[in-house]
Amino acid sequence: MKGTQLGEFEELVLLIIGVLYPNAYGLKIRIEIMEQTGRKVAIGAVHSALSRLQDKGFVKSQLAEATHERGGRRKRLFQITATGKQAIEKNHELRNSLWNKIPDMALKGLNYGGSF
Amino acid sequence: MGRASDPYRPPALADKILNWLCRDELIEEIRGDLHEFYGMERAEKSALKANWSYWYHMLHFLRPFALKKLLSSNNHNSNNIAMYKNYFLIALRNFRKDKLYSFLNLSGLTIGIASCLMIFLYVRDEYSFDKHHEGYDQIYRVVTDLKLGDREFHRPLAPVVLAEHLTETVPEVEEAARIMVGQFNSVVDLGEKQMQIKNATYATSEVLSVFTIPFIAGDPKGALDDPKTVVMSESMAAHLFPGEDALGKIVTFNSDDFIVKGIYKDMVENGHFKFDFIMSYRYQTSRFQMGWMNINTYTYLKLAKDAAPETVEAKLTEALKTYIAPLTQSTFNVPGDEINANGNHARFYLQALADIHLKSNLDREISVNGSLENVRTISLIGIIILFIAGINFVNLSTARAAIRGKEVGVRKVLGSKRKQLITQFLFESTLYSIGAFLLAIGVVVLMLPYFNQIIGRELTFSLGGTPPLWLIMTVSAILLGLGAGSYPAFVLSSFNPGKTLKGQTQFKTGKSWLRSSLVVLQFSISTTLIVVTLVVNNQLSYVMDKSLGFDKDNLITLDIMDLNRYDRNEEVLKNELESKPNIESYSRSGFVPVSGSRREFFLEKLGEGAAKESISVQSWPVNETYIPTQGMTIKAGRNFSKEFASDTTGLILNETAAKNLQLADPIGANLSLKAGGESYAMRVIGIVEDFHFASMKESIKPLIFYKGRDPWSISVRFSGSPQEALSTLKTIWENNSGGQPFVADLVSQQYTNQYQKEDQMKGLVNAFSVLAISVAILGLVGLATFMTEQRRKEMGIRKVLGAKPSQLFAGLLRNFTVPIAISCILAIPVSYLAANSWLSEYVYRISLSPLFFIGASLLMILLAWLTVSFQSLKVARSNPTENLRYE
Repeated sequence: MKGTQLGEFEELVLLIIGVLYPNAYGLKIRIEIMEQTGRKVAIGAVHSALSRLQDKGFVKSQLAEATHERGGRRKRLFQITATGKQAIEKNHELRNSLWNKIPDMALKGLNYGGSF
Repeated sequence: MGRASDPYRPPALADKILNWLCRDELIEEIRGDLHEFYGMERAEKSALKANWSYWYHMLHFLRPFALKKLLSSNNHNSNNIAMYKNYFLIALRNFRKDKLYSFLNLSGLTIGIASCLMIFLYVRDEYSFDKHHEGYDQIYRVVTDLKLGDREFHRPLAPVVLAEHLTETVPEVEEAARIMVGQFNSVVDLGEKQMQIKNATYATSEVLSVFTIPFIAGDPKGALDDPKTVVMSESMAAHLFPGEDALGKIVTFNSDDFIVKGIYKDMVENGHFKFDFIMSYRYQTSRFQMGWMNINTYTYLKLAKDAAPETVEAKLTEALKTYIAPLTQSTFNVPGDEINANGNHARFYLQALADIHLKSNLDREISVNGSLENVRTISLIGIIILFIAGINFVNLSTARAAIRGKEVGVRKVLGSKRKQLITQFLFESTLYSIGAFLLAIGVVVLMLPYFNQIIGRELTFSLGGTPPLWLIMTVSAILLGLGAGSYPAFVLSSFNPGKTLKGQTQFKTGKSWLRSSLVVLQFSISTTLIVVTLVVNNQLSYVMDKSLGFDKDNLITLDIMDLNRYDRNEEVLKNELESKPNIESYSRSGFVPVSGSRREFFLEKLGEGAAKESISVQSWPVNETYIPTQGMTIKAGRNFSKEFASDTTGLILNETAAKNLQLADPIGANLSLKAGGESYAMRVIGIVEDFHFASMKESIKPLIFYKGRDPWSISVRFSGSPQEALSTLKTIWENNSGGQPFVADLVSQQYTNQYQKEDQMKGLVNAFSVLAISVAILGLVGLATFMTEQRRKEMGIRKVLGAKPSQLFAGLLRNFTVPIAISCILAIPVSYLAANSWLSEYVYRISLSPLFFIGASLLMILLAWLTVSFQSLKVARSNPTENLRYE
């Protein structure tokens, strides 16, 4: 099913939501991504990914109480759902099992650009 | 927006755009994030940087997930389709209700679109030239441009050896193809039979690979490497060897046997050359000495895929310095280091293959090229016609506003929004325009043969092409519908339902300044077109009828293909010709004043003192029968004569040559003629009246006759009908020319052919001016009908109160005369400038007399009166009771 695939960026956002629990919202997620990975991301891109994740059912969200920050506008806080959790786990397992299947020979000598 | 707790305010415009485009349910969190982010940015950076970054992130929100769904945002019901059905129905009903109006509107648009379509086909064809060759954008032609001393040479030709030099030394040049002698007609022998060949040339094998020339028999690779080889087109093969396989056959040309190495598909019409018979280039190079100063070869270079032509041009300049400069002293009397100084210049440059047809108009083109100017003029006229048709649409639609007003009122009362009404009217006008496009297709299919006749082409109509015509048509139909419909739509939808339903017209039909100015605009354009048409026609008939200094009528030239065969029989042929009553004289010389034979020598006044005048002159070898046969006039002195043996050193000058040499007493003056590096002492024996031997766009240049022989053709002056003379000639020719084909031309025809482009232009301007004016007249008919209709009641009352029909008629007419008169006045300066700029190309031209403007204006007013008076007369003469009754 195409609709439930977890894209690379989406996976990253999903993981960050987990990391930030329970205070994950758009801008904060962006800042965290930039700090953790050094990637430059537009806020819109994060929102777009969040909206896709929500459509796929990997996250749920609710509007927080209004505070005095940001001109009294409410934040939308995101949480990982059970399906979301499954999706990350599946990805995680897949990677691990693939990693273990790589023969040592294939990686020999590839120690970060070194050659004999 | 700014709440008290906001420490910083982000750019308001960005916020507005966001509000406008973003979904309502998302706007709060998005704005929240953006504002918070802005606050953080401002704390660290300058306001400017923060603003930039705010904009950047704002724009990144314009993604599908955040955008409003445009169609469903305002009306959440699915009523749209139903409404469009209704619009369609209403449009159809309105169309049927007022047939005259619908007909006028639709036919105007149809004529406009059909004209544009045909013009589009023509323009697209003009731009398609030579683009069928694979990799055409990598192919360039070398042009030589020299001005050394008195000699000018600007031709699409290059030195024979240049191609080899370039392929050897310039890596960017992948291949270099060579063609010699353009396109010529001649004869070949097949055993005893002599056959005519057309469009022959000499070319290297590379021509077959640089250009896309698909072979149907034989192998193009190296086909023309041997000197006595030939490849020919399918139709030439069928002409020479009907029903046989031409491949491997022998054709005798110039007493040499050529072997047929290949047959190719006939070349397409839209190329700058169309060869039917290609002989090996080596046939020429193997016979003559060829070097850097033999600038006689059309050289085409195929460059590597991403090579810049400029780099190759730089290499060409180097070659010029290395090889040409050392030779200029002996050939042109200009030292090699002065070729780009003292008013001299010498350069090679490259022409892109696709530019040749429209942009290159040099001496010695392979065939007559197109004219960018014609293409531009005609495109402009196409746009003008469509514009006039568009104005009709706007005028007629707004004029009928009063009638549609009630419908608008009812719709508004029933809850239509203005937006919906605009949609309705735009939909309606788009329907009109689509209908007109469909009709126009039919018109184009019917009219294309006539159009082809004017432009001398074989255009066909198909909806394909790149980009496909159907797509262009669909897009333009919608654009035209929206463009022409937008003003009426806004006017009609603006009505106040309260007033229109009570029967008041808000849009004063009689007093629309906009409508009047559009009419003025239409008719100014039409008047301008009439003036230009008149001027073009007059100038061209002036050119055709001007006394040329020789008599181009009743003159036939005959080409001699085979000198040996001809010379053997010349005396018999000549005697037979002269015995016929309808043949007046016979002369052997190929220098027909119109065919563009050119031979330039230098003429020097022999020094009395230091003042040496030297001019370059056209020098034509003629015999004593030439001047009478051509019908030229001896102004002073005498013609060549057999009685004077000294005439071999005699010269006859034209008046311009005598004037330019400033000869006080020309007859008997001693001059020195320089040709081919030699000087000859000559004496002037006569002066011939100036005659035109080039286009009317050039002034008459100095020219001399000397006694000599140009054996390749004869001229015959006849009396009576040309057909009769041609058939007399043909019989004599066939009996005495030793089997040579009969290739005769009427000089008057050749002269006319010189003005082919201008004649084509005239045809186009005439046809489309008539169309443009008829579209404008159609519009006027509509307006006149409508406005007299509006004043019916007024006319009835006036009549009851005692006005005579003639007074009413005059009143109605006056109404229309004023705008037309204004437009005539406005048209004067525009048409003067347009006509003058067209005429300025001609050295010999008509003067722009006021009659053109007066004539065009009178014609326009007359046409308008005719149009209007029919309606006005009907109303003015009608019974007042009928006009007043309907309430």
